[in-house]
Amino acid sequence: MKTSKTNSASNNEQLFSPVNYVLFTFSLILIVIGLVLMTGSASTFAKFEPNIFSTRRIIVAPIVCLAGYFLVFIAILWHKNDLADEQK
Amino acid sequence: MKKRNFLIIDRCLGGIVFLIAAITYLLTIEPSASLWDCPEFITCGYKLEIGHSPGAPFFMLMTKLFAMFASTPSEVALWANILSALLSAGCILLLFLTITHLVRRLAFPDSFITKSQVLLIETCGLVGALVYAWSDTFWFSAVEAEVYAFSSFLTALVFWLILKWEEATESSKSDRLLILISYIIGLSTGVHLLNLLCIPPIVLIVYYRTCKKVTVLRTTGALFIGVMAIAIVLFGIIPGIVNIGSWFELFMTNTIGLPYNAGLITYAILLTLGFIIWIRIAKKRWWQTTALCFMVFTIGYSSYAIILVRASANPPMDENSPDNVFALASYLSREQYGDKPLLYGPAYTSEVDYETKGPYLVPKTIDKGAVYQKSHDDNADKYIEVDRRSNYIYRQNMLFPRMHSARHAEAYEQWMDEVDKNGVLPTQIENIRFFLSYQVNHMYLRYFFWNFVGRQNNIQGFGDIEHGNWITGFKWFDDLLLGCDTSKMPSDLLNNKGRNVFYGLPLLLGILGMLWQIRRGKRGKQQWNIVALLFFMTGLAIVLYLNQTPMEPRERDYAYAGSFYAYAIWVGMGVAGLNNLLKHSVRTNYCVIATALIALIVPIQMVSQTWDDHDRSNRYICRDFGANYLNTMQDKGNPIILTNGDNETFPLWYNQEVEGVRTDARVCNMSYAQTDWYIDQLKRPAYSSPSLPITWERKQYTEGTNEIVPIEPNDSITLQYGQRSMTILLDGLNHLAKSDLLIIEMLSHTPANRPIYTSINTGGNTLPYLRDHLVLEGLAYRVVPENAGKLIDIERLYDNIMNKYKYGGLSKQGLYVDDDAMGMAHIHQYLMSILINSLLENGALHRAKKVADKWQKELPSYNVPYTDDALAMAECYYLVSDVKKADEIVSNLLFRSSEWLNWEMSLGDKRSRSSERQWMGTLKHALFIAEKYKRKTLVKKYSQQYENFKNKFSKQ
Repeated sequence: MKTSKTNSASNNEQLFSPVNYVLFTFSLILIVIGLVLMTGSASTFAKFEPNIFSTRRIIVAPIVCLAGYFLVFIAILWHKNDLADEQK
Repeated sequence: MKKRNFLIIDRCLGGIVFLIAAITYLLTIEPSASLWDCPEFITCGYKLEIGHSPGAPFFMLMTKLFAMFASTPSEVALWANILSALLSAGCILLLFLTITHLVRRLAFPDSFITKSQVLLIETCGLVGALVYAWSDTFWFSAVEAEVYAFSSFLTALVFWLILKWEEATESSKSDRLLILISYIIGLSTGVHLLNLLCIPPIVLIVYYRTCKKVTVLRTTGALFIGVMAIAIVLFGIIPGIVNIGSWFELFMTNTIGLPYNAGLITYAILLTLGFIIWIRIAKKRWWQTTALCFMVFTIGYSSYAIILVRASANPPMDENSPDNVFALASYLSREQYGDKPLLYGPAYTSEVDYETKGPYLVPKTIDKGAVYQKSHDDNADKYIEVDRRSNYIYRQNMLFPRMHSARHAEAYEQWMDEVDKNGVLPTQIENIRFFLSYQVNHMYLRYFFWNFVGRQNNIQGFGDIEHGNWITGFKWFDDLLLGCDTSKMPSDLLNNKGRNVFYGLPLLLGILGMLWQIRRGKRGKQQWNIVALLFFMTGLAIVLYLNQTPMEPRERDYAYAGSFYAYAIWVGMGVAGLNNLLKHSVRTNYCVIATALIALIVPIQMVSQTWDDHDRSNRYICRDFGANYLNTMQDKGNPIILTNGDNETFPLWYNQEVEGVRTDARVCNMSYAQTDWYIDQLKRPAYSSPSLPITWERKQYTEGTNEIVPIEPNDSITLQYGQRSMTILLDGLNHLAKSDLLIIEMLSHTPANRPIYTSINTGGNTLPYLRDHLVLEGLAYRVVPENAGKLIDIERLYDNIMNKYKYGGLSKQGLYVDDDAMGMAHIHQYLMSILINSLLENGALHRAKKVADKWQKELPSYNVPYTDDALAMAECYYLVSDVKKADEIVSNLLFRSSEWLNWEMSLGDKRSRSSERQWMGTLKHALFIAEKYKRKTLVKKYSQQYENFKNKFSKQ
């Protein structure tokens, strides 16, 4: 197996830059907003509530949630250093 | 060439492989919902409702995304299937990239690779990927809306990512891949927990990469850590995150007095803060990476919040109603399916231990905690303990119990050819024999051989010679394997589209691949360990964990797709192995090309066999038959239908929820009717169906109350059903369950114009005490107050069969009719035969002929071979003097019965008595009809055969 060449510098290298953390925060906010958009009135013993299938609750909300989950991918993978490395 | 150029070629070819797989799956995709759980999943995705435990929230979101491309509601199912198809093609792409990566790393680790070496590597990937793409199990899941295609994709993705991590220079950049993997695993908990099985291979790869000295002891330690890691995630983290939330909820709502969900929100905030603090104080790189891994895993897992939110809306499909954190915890842990003992526990003959409590003998139990529910009191938000969960303690226990379920006692003994054990524990030898012969061989190895050697037919196998076995295609081998002369099998079996033979070529390639890999030094052995670990975890480890009982309702091969993925890696490497073999005999220049051409024969031969039984185009069986059940009921009065199994419930719900069919009716599934959350749902109106006639108060049917009510034996109940008196005899019963009480409640309180029906299966089997009160109208019986005997409502049955019912495309030439679809078609044919017979009895010859013509048109014999029921149709044709059509049916049945009976006779003792009884009955009936209508040639030809069979079988 390849011997791991860890330079002492990389041990203290920051894994994520502030941009990544901003993206994480934004994703979480999106997911929470999506969940909030999904809430609303419920069907009861007395009445069926057609609003549980409203556009806001079953179209907009899941899209917002999904956007949040996909943004996490970007939050993990985003880096600006690799461009510089490849040119070396 | 340089590594970079190689990667470009590799990715281009990967794109081509993706296209081949995608086109395959899109061409063979089912255009509407498929049977079993698919209609439920499609509904959950499209309308964000709650399906069976443990739910699949991320799968739901992705299905919703794809459903948005549908232009009409009837296209939603197609788009849900397209999701599976594209993800499956993605999985094939990843398999291709994985194989080329592994082969390159093992055989050509230097940057310089010659052109012919590139050809070899790419062929390895191509052959391995295509063999898997066109294999039975994977293709089956790729064209329907189930979670397994998605789960396979995520497994492949995670595995490929860890290989990329292994290759990258160790740095903070490569750590990103580890975090990405953790996030994907977190998301995968919202699809299917199968993905957790990737964790041991990941741990092993990390160990090989980071450990300076690899020893056997340390490797074993790494394996142990890997398995422990799954246990920690599956039994610790996943339930733990929710359970801690429940402590917060209980404390803040019950003790402090805050409204519902205050605890959960506080918990979520504290959890977020906790992660932020952890990440900030983590200075060392590996500690910070770990913190981030846990954080993103939790973010991925958070998709379950969607389940909480949507359950709180009380949608019409709301299984287990996980609208609070306690119900969610139970939902996630699949509590409704029960525990199966693994290391130590009771066998099926074990008796429950008893102890005296005062004057009574009560069973000994272990308390498993309280069951909390919301108080249903509008004044205060509070959780109350409604029941306590407990497990019985058994008097006799054994190590590694494999025959554990008392409910399946008869099934175990039938499989084992054993005498009644009479309360004695099975011996360890018997136990292991069951484990090996049933759980390992029948429920795993058989599936493995289906994919890489060949499959006998698509009929579910229960250990008999005729159904669902694996075969090679070499007659001499198969005869030995099955212990009979396979060429003598009746044409029904030999022509079955599910018969696929590969002559063992993929299996052999895989073995070649394993040998090639393991012989390439230390690295080869390590690679072999990794692939073998994946193969084991997604294969035999599942067998160990599931502890399956016999008499499964369907084949379960879809669960092991991951292990077949691992084997496909070896199949790909087999090309390199083949190349080695040929190098000694062929001139080096052309060796690789020759290898490639020979190896490519394997997947191409496979697809020539597997295409016909995986092409689901033009099939609308699930959708149409579900609609048929609903349309059997009258239009007015908001009828109710009682059903039991998945295939007579989910297609109906799909039709109502997604396509808007008969939303005035209500489907009441009896297997859920024992639960309080389901009775809650029945009491709510849904679409245009008013609440069901249940007057019970919540506390009367809460979990733990009135689960079983003892009654006097041979008791009876008289009630007012509609406006007439109805007497139900309860002979043979000494107790009524909550679900029975529910039926009686509904019958007593339903208004006169609101009829109650039962599905044809439920009326016949599940509700014996209603047996005398059922009138057949089609796929449903109407429940009537008076004693109906075996009454048939001919007018309604005629109208349903001739005008209302649709037949799912079964008239289309070349349609693929699998075992389940055949069963449903047979139910329709059964109804047609009853209708024809009733019409003939009443002298309505002209109408009977119309039904017979309808049968020929909608359920033609080239798709649905005749059964005994078709003789009613033959009789009808004789009576209208259409002798040709009648003769065709009778001679077909006579021929096939004698074919089958000859076959059974050739088996001697091993013959299937139920097959023999069935075909003797058909032969006798067909002869009777032939004699009745004076078909002298047919009678002469077959009556002697019948007498022969009768003598032979009565002697044996």
